[in-house]
Amino acid sequence: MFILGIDTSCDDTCSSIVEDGKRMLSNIVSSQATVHRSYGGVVPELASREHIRNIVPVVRESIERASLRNKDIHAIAVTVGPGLVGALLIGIYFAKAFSYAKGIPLIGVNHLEGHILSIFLEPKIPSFPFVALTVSGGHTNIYHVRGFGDYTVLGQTLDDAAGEAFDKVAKLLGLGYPGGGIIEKMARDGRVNAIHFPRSYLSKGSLDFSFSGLKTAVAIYINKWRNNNDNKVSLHDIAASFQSAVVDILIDKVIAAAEKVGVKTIMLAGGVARNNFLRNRLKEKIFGKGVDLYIPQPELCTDNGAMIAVAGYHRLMKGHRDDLTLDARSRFPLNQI
Amino acid sequence: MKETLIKYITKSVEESLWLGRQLGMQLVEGDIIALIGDLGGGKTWFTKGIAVGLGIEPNDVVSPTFTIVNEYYGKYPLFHIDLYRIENKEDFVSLDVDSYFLGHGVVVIEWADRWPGRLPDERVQIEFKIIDDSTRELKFYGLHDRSRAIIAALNKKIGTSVNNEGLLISNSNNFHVHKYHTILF
Repeated sequence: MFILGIDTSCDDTCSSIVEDGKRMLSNIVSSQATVHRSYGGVVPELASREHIRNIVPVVRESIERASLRNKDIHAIAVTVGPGLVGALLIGIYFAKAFSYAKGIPLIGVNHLEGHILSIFLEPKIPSFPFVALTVSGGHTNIYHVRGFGDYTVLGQTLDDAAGEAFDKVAKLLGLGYPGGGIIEKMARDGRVNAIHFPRSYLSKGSLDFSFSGLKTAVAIYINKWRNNNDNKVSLHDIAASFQSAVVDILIDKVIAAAEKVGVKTIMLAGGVARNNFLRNRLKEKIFGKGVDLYIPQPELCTDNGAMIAVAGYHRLMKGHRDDLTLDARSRFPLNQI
Repeated sequence: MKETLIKYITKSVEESLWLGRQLGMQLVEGDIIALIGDLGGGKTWFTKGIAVGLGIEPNDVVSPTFTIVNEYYGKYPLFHIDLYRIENKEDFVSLDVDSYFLGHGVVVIEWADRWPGRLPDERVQIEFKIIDDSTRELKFYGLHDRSRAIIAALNKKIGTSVNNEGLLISNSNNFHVHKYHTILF
């Protein structure tokens, strides 16, 4: 069964073909595709117009790369939220039109469920139950995953997402956007313990996150550092110390979550899961503890249509379908699917 | 817009939350709160307080930097807008943010100084300044009847005195500092 998966929740227009919920036949993201981008300075996901321009060529390319034709597609899955409504609607209306024209099932998908299920595109897949940390520019959540469609939120950010903290600190340091990759690169030549930034764990036993205090501490530090011209601490040191603080919090919380619900499998997803410092530190932390770690390949950590197709496949298998009243949901907690 | 009506000093996140909550309790549909100040000034946590004052679940209120607009529903809808990532007028092309000013809910705008063009005059503007790690100065401005009325109601509730610069200044002793959970629930 071939499912076309579409995601327009964020910066990029994404489309993919996945067979039987596990074999990815194509995975097209507008920034990589041969799609003309007309203006660069625009905050991309604001530009619904850009999604409108991209959607047809990106979908077409995903079908061609899979060596299929439109008539071969069995169902279409599309992200309905969370995200910016104007951007989501482009994918949703395209999917409705495609579903209607071809007479195939339409399935609305929660973006975060897509991230969690991205791991099922890998050759090595986890067995249920497991704990998933989805961490990106827009989300920082921990879920207890008991099966397809069976998720409980164990923790979430109370203010900034982890990826947002990376972006904001990169901007404070004058390093550009997006911040995750730049900070990671700068941090390689820095000392993780040059500065001790505060790690907010909130109340004892809490699995929620707060990154705004850390961001503020870094902002205050950078102001002082600029004025003092302190040569003992480099920009690399600040990046490394900051990254280490974020990673410590993420790792401690996800391990605590796994212990709390008594599972031995941890899964990471979302753009921040590409961070090698996070990946390696987590591997070290769980070494010898009998905990299995699953992280999708980097292209599947960032937003993509393939994960939406996987989630759509499993929803369809459970008999779920949507009709043409399907609508965007800017806020869409996973416990409401 | 330069008439300072009141200046508050908050000494902790909890005090900022509490102050936000007191403000939130005064607000009705159509009110606009513009927040300005450095990164780390406490705008999102202050907004969380406003949301609590409107009967919204505090854990739902998170930074809208990524999404640009978060919508929450309590006694009135709260439209939580963040212009941090807005860098030029074109960014607004498909945003349609003006539609939030139609009076269907309370509007809070973080990084309001990045609004291209003119914000509605009838707004409460709050400028955040970082004094030290935990202390923040919040200056409230309001020029028109409704925004002055909001600030006056807040003053009355909290208690204020006039300092030698002629500013109304909050008396920290009047702040009812609670633990985080008692503020929120």
